[in-house]
Order: sequence, then C-alpha cells, then structure tokens
Amino acid sequence: MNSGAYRWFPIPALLLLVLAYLVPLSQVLMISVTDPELGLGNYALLVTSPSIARVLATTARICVITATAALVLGYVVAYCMTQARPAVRRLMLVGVLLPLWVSVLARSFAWVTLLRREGVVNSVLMGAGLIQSPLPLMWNEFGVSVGMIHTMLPYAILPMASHMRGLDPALMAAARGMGASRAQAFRRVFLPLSLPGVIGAGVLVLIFSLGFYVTPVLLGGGRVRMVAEYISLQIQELLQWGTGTMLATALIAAIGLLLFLLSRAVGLRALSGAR
Amino acid sequence: MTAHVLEADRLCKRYGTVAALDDVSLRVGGGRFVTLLGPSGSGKTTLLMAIAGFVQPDSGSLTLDGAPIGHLAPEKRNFGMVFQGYALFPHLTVAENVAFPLQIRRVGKAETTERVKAALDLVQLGHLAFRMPKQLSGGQQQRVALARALVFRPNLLLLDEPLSALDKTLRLSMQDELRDLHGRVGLSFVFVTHDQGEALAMSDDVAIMRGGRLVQIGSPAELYERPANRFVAGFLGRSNFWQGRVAAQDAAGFTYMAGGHRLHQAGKPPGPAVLVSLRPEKLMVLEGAGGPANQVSGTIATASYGGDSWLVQLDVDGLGRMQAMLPTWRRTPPHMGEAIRIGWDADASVIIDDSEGDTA
Ligand SMILES: Nc1ncnc2c1ncn2[C@@H]1O[C@H](COP(=O)(O)OP(=O)(O)O)[C@@H](O)[C@H]1O
Ligand SMILES: [Mg+2]
Repeated sequence: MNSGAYRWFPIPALLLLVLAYLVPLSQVLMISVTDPELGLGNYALLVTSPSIARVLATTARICVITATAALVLGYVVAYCMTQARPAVRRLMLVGVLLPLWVSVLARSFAWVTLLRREGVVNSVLMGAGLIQSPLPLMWNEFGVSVGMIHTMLPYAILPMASHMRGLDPALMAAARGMGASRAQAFRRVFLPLSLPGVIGAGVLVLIFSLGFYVTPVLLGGGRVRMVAEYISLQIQELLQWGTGTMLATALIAAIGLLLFLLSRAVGLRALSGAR
Repeated sequence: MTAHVLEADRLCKRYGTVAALDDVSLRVGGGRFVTLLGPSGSGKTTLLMAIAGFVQPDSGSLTLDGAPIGHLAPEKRNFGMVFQGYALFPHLTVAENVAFPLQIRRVGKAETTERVKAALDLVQLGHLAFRMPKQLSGGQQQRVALARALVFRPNLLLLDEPLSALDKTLRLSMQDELRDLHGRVGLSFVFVTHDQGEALAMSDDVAIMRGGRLVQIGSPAELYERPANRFVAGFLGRSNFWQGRVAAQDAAGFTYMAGGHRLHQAGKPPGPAVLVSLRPEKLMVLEGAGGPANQVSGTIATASYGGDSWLVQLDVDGLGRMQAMLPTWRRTPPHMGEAIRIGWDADASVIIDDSEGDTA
C-alpha cells in the first residue's frame, strides 16, 4: 500500500525525541534513586534538609511574585491591545515581541547596569537628591524579581491578549445597553470571561519561572538561590549527583502538575465561550 | 402605559468618505413596529447604534418624548436591545442573563426573581432558566435575548437583524412570535432587516434605507403599491418599468405614448415625461375580446414554475422585456415562443420618480 509509507515518516523525529529526552531523563530518574545508595533517601531531603527547604521557599516566593506582577501588568497591556485600533495594536505587538529577540543574558546584564549600586537608577535618584545612599536594588530578591518579571511579560501578555481578542465585543455593548456603566460592564462581563486566559498565562509564567537560571545568578549574585542554580551547584561544584537529580526530577514533576492544571484551564476556556 | 416617542432629526454620520447616515429623520412612537429595511451597508445598523448611543452622530438630534437624549451614554437611555448574534453572556445561566439588567439597577432579590420568571414565561422559556446559553438552540437563545431586553421595562426595543441567523422555518415562526410579543408588551419596536418579505410581513411602518439615506417610509401596503422611486419599486418585490411622454389629459387620468403604444394611466402626470412601474401580478393574460384599458402583445421568452404561479418573461414590442405572474390554475403551461396578449387597468400601474433614491 502506498499510504502505508507515510506511517514511517515520524520515526526519525521519534528516535531523536527518545535519544535526546527520554533516555537522559530516565537516567536522571535512575540516578536520583540509586546515588549514593538505592532507595528514596534523596527524596527525604525535600523535607529534612533546611538548605533545600530554603531554596524551595525562595523559588516559590519569587515565582509567585513574578507571576502575579507579570499577570497584573500584562493584563493591562493585553486589555489595551484588544481595545486599540488595528494599526496601534500591531505596533504594540512588535513592542511586546521585541525583547524576545534579545537573549536573556543580555537583558539580565542590562538590568545589572540599571540596578547596581552605581547603576543608572541609583545615580539618577541620588543626583536628584531623592536618596542619600544607594538603594539595594540587586543581589536580593527584588532585583531577581524585576529581571524575571521583565522577561516573563511577553509570555503573560500574549496568551491573555489572544484570549481577550476571542471575546465578542458585542457582549460589552450588550451590558452597556442594559444599563451597566463601563466599569460595571468590565467587572461583570469582561473580567470573568477573560479569567481562563489569565489562568493559562499564569501557569505558563509559573512553569518558565521555576526553571530560571541566568537571571537569578546574575541579579541574585549568589545571595538569592533558586532551584535551577542550586541543582547546577550540586552537580557541577559539589558532585552531589543524587541530590541534584532528585531536585531535577521534583522540578519536572511540579511542571507536569502545572501543565495538568493548564489543560484544565484550557477546558475552562472552551466553556467560557471564547470564539 | 403610553408608548414613548423617539424622534431622530437630520442625523448625519460619516466614516471617512462613506456617509453611513445622510440626513436621516425618523419618528418612532405609539407602540408601533417600525422596520429599517435596506441592502447591506445602507446604514441600518449605524442608525440603530446611533439611537442606542453606541455611535455618536456628526450632526442632528435625538429626542425621547421631546427631551434631548443625544448626549446620554448608552446605559442612561434605557433602551432594550437585541443584537444580531444575541450577545448572551456565556458565563451566566439563562436566568442570570435575564437578571443582569435588574441587578445593575439594584432591584431587590425577591422582585428580581419574580420579574425574571415573568420575562422567561413571556417567551415560553421558564423551564430552561438554569441552562447555559451554549446549551440552547438558536431560536431559544433568541428568546432569552428578547426576555433580557424586555425585563427592565425599556422605553423602546431595538432589534438588529435578530432573525437572520435562523433557518427559514424557524424564522417564519419567530416572525409570528415577535409580532405577537409586540402586541402584548405595548412598546415601540425598531427592527432591522435586509429581508423584504420579513419587513412587509411584520411591520406597521417600513423605512427603506439606501446609501445612508432614508428613501421612503410608510406602511408595507403603501410602499408596495405606491413606491416613491425606482429603487423602492425594484427592492420591494419585482416590477416592470418603462418611460412615456404625456399625450393628453382628462378628468380620469391621462394618455401617454410609450414604445409606439397609446397607454392610459389614472391620476395626474407629474410632468411631460413619466416613468411607469407595474407589478408582474397585475398583468392579465387576455383571451377573447374586451378587457382592460391597456393591451399589448408579446412573445414568451422564459417561464419558471413557482407553485402558485408561473413567472413569465415576455418580449413586448416597444416596451422590451416584461415580467408577468400567471396563475398556475387557469392555464396550460406557457411555452417558449408562444404569442400572448396581455393587459392592465389604468390604475394598476403607478407613476414613480426616476431616481435611485440615494442622491438629494
Ligand atoms: N465603525 C465603522 N468604521 C468605518 N465604516 C463603518 C463603520 N460602521 C459602518 N461603516 C460603514 O457605514 C456604512 C453603513 O454600515 P451599516 O450601518 O453597518 O450598514 P447595514 O447595517 O445597513 O448593513 C457601510 O458602508 C459601512 O462600511
Ligand atoms: Mg447591519
């Protein structure tokens, strides 16, 4: 049969996937339960080790702050984008996408020049006489969050804007026609209908934030340790392969859970009547 | 309850070079069912949206019972509105959708429940109160939209092509229901459609629009029998047109020459040249002697069967191609090339204005 041949076309891609992802991943899983000895000893560290607990707490805190801030700021941008005239909307879209073409490394260094002790922000504020001594703007969670929020904004804006554009503008007009003010129509109609987009964007941002490496390293200066940096430290500096792979596995599990929630949110989107 | 009177006076609205509304004046009141009828792009939606407050006219005024409302935001006008796609809130149940305008008005809980129930009963949807809009058929969604637009006792009900999304059978039964509802609620309706049949069947008054202008307004029979110009005559049903020159005039009417025929027309001629319009169903096939004042001969070019009648295209010497409706019950089927005599009474044809109605 002729069409039978097409069945084999995905095979190279599948092979690549197996070799490049599944094999190493299963090895990571293997090491996490065999090094230094067989068992779940490494996983017990998740609850017994104070330093791991501290890293996880820092990671969770920064991720939640990043996601919340990116969602709030991004919602405003996404809303303005959907309300704007087409020409303005295209311009805004370019503005949102532009940073994605600049590497995370370059953007993080840009923030370093802005936020360090003698950086642009501090010198302007001191020059204006608003502060006497430089503010500690980086090498702390504040600096890391600022850098991460900046990086995450497009990932928050784009899914929300695309969801909002799917909402029928006649719904807002209908609400107004029935006596609702602009604000009432927004709160009672637009906001609830846009929530699935917010949830989707939120999960996406959380997933990306969990694995952040470059930004926390550069803007945290070793004082703010997130889980990705900690894993690399365990494996490359301390040669604690068991601990490192265990954390990597836990990270993947957490992301899997979030992805599951995301798929639920997408189901919710279909229910909420987006076109 | 006396119905409110809405008056639009000389409304104009331009979008770039397009005149969406061009000097439109309209009076709606007395609980009448007023239909805006026109081809797509003729400004119907723009006029409705200007009345509702979503479109700000460039000039002209809007008053309700004599008080200006042009400056009011849409939510202050208290007009019920049914949108083309119904615009039901997908995250709210049927009952919550209908309750929405009452909650905005801070009506008490008990009264809200009661009025929502009454509104849903009015459109026979009481049993579906807790469904989501997605779970309803097109006709049911349509009725929810109506209930929601009526529940807050609006001053006026505006409907933008509410039936165009429904299939034909459902559309016909919704036409009856909407007429019936109109009779019961005692409100004036402004109804938009591009469907001539719908407009003629449902309305007390039809306002015909074209290119942003209001071409003619009147009862369906007035518009059909006395179209003001060529556009209205051609848009509302079929019509034959020909030009003539007035030859003589008397008390009963006048005689004019057209294509070598001497023809008679009731009424007074508007000038030396006239444009005559004649509905195909007013043409009679003549057999034997006697008959109407105007008689010509022709040859059948095509005939198409329409159940109750044949629509026949004839070639008539001097007058060109004409259309006639021949009842199917009285005749053997017409065939191509057949020579027939046709005729019409002096008051069957009408003299109309030779314009398309879109220029001043
Ligand atoms: N928001 C708008 N921007 C630009 N042109 C518009 C807008 N709304 C309507 N028009 C134009 O005005 C004319 C009348 O439109 P509309 O009132 O929607 O017609 P209808 O409802 O009779 O089909 C059309 O030519 C349309 O293209
Ligand atoms: Mg329209």
